[in-house]
Amino acid sequence: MVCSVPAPGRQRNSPKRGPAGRRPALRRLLGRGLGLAIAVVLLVSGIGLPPPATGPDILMAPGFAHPLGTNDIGQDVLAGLLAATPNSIAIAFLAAAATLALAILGGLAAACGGRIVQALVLRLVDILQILPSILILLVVAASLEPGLVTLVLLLALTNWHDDVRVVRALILRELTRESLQQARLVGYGWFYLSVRHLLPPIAPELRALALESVRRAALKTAGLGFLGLVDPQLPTWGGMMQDALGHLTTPAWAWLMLPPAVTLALFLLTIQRLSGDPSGRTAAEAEA
Amino acid sequence: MFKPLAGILLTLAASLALPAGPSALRAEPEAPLVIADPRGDRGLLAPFAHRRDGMGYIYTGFLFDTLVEKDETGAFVPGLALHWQASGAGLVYDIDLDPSARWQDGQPLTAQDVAFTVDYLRRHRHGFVSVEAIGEAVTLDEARLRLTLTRPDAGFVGEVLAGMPVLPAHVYRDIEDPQRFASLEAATGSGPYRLATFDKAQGRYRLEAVAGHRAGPPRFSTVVITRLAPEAAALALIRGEADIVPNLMPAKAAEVTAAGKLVIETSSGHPVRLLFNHRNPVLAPLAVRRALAHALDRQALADIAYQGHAQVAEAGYFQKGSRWLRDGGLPGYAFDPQQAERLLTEAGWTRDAAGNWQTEGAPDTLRLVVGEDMRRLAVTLADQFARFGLKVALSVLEQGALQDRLASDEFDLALASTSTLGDPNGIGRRIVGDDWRHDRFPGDQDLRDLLRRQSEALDADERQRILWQFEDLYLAQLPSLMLVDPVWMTGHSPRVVPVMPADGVAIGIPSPLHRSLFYRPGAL
Amino acid sequence: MAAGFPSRAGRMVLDRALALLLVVALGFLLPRFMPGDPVELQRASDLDLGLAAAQRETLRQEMGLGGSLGEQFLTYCAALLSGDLGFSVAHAAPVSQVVAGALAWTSLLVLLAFPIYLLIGPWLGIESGLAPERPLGRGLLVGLSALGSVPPYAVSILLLWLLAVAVPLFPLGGAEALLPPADPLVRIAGVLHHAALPALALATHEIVRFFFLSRGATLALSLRPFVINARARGIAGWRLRVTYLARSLAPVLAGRLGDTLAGQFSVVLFVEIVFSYPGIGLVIHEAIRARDLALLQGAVICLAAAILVLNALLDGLAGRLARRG
Repeated sequence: MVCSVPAPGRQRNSPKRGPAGRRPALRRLLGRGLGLAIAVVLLVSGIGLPPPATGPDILMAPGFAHPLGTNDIGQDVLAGLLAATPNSIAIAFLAAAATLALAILGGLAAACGGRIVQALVLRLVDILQILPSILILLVVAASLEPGLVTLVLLLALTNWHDDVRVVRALILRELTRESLQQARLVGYGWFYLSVRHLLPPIAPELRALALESVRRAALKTAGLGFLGLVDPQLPTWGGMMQDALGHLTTPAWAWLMLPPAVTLALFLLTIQRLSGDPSGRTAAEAEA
Repeated sequence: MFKPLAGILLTLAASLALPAGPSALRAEPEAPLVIADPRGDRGLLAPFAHRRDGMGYIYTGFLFDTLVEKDETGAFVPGLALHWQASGAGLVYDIDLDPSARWQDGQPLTAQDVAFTVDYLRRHRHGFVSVEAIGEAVTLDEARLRLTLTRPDAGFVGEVLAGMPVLPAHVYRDIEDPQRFASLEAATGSGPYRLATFDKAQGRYRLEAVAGHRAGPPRFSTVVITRLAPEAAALALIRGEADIVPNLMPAKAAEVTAAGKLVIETSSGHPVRLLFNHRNPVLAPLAVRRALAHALDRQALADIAYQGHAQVAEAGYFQKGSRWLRDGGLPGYAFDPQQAERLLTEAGWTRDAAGNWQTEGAPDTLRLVVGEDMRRLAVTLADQFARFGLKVALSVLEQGALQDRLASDEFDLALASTSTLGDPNGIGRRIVGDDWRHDRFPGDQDLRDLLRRQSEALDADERQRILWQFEDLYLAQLPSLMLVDPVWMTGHSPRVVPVMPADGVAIGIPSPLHRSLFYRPGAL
Repeated sequence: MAAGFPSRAGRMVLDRALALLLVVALGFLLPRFMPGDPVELQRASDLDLGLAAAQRETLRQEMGLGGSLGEQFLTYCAALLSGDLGFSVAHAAPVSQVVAGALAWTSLLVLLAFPIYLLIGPWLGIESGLAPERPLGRGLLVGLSALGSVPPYAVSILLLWLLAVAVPLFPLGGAEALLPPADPLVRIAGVLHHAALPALALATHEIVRFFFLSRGATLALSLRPFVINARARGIAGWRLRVTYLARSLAPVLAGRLGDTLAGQFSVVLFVEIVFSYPGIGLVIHEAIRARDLALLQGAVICLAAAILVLNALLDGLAGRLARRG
């Protein structure tokens, strides 16, 4: 096997400038900075909030007292959303970070390791990629009822292999650069080389990968919550959507389902926008 | 590459075509009775193969007769046995079988079959029915046999004679592993219906009337039991496609009655109890358990967690629907935070600056573990405790994790919903037994004596008196706290009149799917 | 890859065999590390009288839980090789029977969804890719981006509400009418009627995927000389879309079908739960909840095997298309 050839069809372009690219850079920066600031404040203030209190107002339609209505044990949907949003976002980002870290480790091993290590890692990745990871996620989550930390680890462990080949291709590309070759000759260790020379140039691609991971993690977390497989003391969008399942033929499904679903969709769209034109990546795939 | 796909299509087509064979083409004299069961597939309806739950047992009971039956009022009436007579201080039962009883394959049903069943249940665990009380079963002739008990048992008729499905000896004789005997032959019974087809994937059973049944032909020539999601089941009833929906969604009840259908509300007989971990020294003082009881607003629990489709449970052990419930019930632990506060203070608990209760040598939160089905009640309950200043860490667990936590004592409080119907012989198992599902109360000698004496009291009045004494102790000592008794709804069309007998169907299953559904008036 | 065809095929088979072995090992190990005593959990009801020690041991043996972990695994593999997937006590039926019954229904959904997303996704993608800056192209991009951000169960619930509750064109759930009609043709029509909504929900997710794939590929193809020439010569409409674009897209799309299969399972699971469709997803969901070890293992292994085989076939097809194209 020739291991210096990047896998076809997996190489990604740096994020293309989408429609946002036509706006003045300053405005764009401001917009993003503001959004980011709001997100950070929301996140930090809200992680770990308990579920909202139960009450006698059961399945109330949205109104004055409860702007988004109440669920079937009288919990205010808006309060639930305020508690669930930071958790769900935090899980998605932490899981993406953990996934990326694992993928970088795997990528480094697959690019710079010995022949046997390289072959082993790549084969493992191939095998994991054809496994439906949702099966494993389901079985494990069913037994653990994961809370925030467990969930993050679980998501990372069932996701990391998707990114290894891309990371490896990027690293191989960098390895051929002269500055790196020189640094290597000077005799720096692998850790120093990776952190100072190897990873910084591929940061934009890694960022795009991480954002894609955020999307996947958010969707999977919501899915597990929807199946009731997340710690019930940890409010999430998925858990809120689960409330709607028993009320599909009554009007209540709308105020139980739509607030978390719309918030999740908006979050996913925002992430998609941050990572550039959605077709950028797939165009790259098609060109291969 | 389309070969495998075509193969799958062919299989599918074949599976569709097969069950709709000759029986479906025959002209129906009347529309079948359709039971749309939201909980789904109950396994093959044979005594050892059906799913180990109440409805699986009830459906199997349509196919298999018992020696004694319960009528709509809960009184014992003849089944396969025309007479049963206890003698010798309740140690000997003489049974005369109905000579017209036959198996669905045409073989006569004899005393040998009954003796075989007793022997077979001794060797093969049935789960719901135990024949341990029977010392020996001797056949006197083709239609008579004598059962000798090892000790007097007040619950014998209810638990064994009315609970034990009689097995065909000629079918089961050589079966060594009845749990895996899963062909239609395993469902050969002596009941009013035979199992014609069973579609596993869709959870659909088709039962056909047995023409020569000893109680006369049943009212419906075909009964179809099918799995249908809760909302779809309610809709099917409204549209007239289904006749009976057990476990009707309470939220759909109004719509169902508006469509001219009927809804029966039965007290579930499955009150939800708050279990205490009696191995935990913190919960050992009675005052603490009583304080927890006073801290709970049980009416609010019923209103919020069950949207009103539950009653506050009777404070004693027996619930509505039980023949043992005394008039007016017992006064329970009223919602009284001040009283709770006094009791906790007496027990040495103090409040911290934030108003949260704490006691020496105990973590400041109580661990409440519940199953998925109790999520709503548990959240509401934890909320009430939190308002009282008791911090509760709630874990809603999947069944396996729950079993693990309960069995290994990794909990302080738990919620359990178990039957309080059936013969009172089951109480001991639930209160002082060592089953992880139940109270596991150490219980003093008085309590244990009462439970033993009620089982030996052959006189119903005496048994009643002893049981009431037991109830007083139960309420005073709080092995567990009765919280709420959910209301179970069964929707049905005017074609049928489901009835729930006192103390439930057969071994105490709180469902109105009593066999009287199928009998013509006066046939029993 | 640089290696020749035979070794490539060999590697593909080997990879899949290893993957399947991994699934077998996981299917064997994971349930055994789940908390809870599987023997106790078979006693689903509190009416159950409890087990004596001897009965407990017998049941343990019957469930393949006797002996050391190594012994259990060997017994398990031996049985698996002889085609015995075990016995589901909760369903009181051999696992193979339960799984086969469910797989048939899931296959029906997957097969019905197949043409829907394979036609609609690329078609919309080509339209959007041909006119990326015009309102149609932009609108499609925004709309499908939004659709792609809605989780599959939300899509299912929306469809259910729209087409089964608000406008009751389709049944609420299940795979067939309560009483299937005797006439096979009417019956098949009924089955299709029940499968329509779940299949559509299943397809929606893939439509988005294939839309983005095709749009990206179309954008790239638009820069290639043969397309530029064709458009310059005035070739447009169906001819441009089918002869020039769709044909070149086919190998790209076929290459992604393999991934699609595995990805579709996670969608099928939710769709089957929302529509209570009696397929493999519902079986797995119930097996997890009821802690039916044997069924869970059997279902996961069968499903993984099915996905691996189909995925190999599709990859083969994609390879052939790519060489031809």
